[in-house]
Amino acid sequence: MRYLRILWEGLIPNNPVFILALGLCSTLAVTLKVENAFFMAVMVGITTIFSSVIVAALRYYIPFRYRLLSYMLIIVTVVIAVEQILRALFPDVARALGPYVGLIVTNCVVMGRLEAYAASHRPGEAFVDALGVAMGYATVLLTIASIREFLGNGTLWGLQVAPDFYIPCRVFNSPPGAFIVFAALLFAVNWLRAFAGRDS
Amino acid sequence: METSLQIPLLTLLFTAAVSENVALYYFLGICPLISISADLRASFNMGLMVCVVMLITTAANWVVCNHLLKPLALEYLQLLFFVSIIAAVVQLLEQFLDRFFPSIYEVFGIFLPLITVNCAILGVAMFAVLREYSLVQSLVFAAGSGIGWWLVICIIASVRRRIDLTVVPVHLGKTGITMLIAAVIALAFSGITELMGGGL
Repeated sequence: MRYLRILWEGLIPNNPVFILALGLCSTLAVTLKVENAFFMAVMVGITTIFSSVIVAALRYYIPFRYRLLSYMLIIVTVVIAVEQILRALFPDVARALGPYVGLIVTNCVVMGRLEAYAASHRPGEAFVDALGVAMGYATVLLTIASIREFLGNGTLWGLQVAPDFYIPCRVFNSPPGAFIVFAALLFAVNWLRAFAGRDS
Repeated sequence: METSLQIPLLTLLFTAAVSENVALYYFLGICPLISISADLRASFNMGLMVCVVMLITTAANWVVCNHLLKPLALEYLQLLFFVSIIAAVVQLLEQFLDRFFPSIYEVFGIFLPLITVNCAILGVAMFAVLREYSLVQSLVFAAGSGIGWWLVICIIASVRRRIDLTVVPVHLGKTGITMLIAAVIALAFSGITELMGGGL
């Protein structure tokens, strides 16, 4: 039950992107296609989970003064491993994502979780917390990518879903479209939160 | 390799600064763009610092990557070296300014630790290596990207000063309205590209 609450905290009330405004770069950059967004979300998730568990397990051995440096090195190690696996298994996706895989290192979602949670909790709790945050991040990424791919191409994961008479709106494929979709979603989420808050 | 050698330097500079702007086209360094741009003076100083650090780190990373990692076939460690070099350069710059130019350090010093985790710095260094630019081309690319980022954060900060005097939808919040400003500016920047013939 307690673990479920930790999981829920990361998914909605502490959603990394909309509530905490972390990890905005990849949210905007890789959401052109649902497929890319899915792989990006999985990789950020794996990185968050592994580095959280490692930091939680080593939390008594990491000197406080050098903690950010230690976290950085742990994250880099995990990201290099994830990048090599991706290149071996899905070379096409790796090429499409390009440098954004390496840029997970500077994704503040990962560092934020390590500093705010993993550094002061047991590995089991850190694992569940990282899983919740990763799922919250994935939800946002997939939502934005679905909207952009549907409006911009009329497709979802490469499959044609829009009816024939729909004319794709190319602006959603271009960078300004990403900003517009993000702002609209942020508005919707804040409005829903205010609405829910007034009810209770 | 052949194609990247033939790009004229002026085109490279213009492309990096305007038409493929590092913030609005590649979505790098969005987090500080949203948080710092509330204050115009801070934005100006931060942008200048990003320019300086970007030039130094891109040159250092290019040398290390092409003369140390490639001959030793250690390219998979690229990320680890890049992150360490950026952290080291920022640390050295901080101590150098503190020791010899304390008045400059007082103004710019607080932004230096933030720059370590700015994904624009890491991203530009990785793009320069990925596209196999020569050292001169890398420097021009870094200068263009730095100036482009500086320009964008100053424009956004100036617009936000006006926005502060108006009424915005409550649920949009500061992040949302900044995203919308960025969307409009991104549209303008891609418009400039069309104006120049679009063939750059």
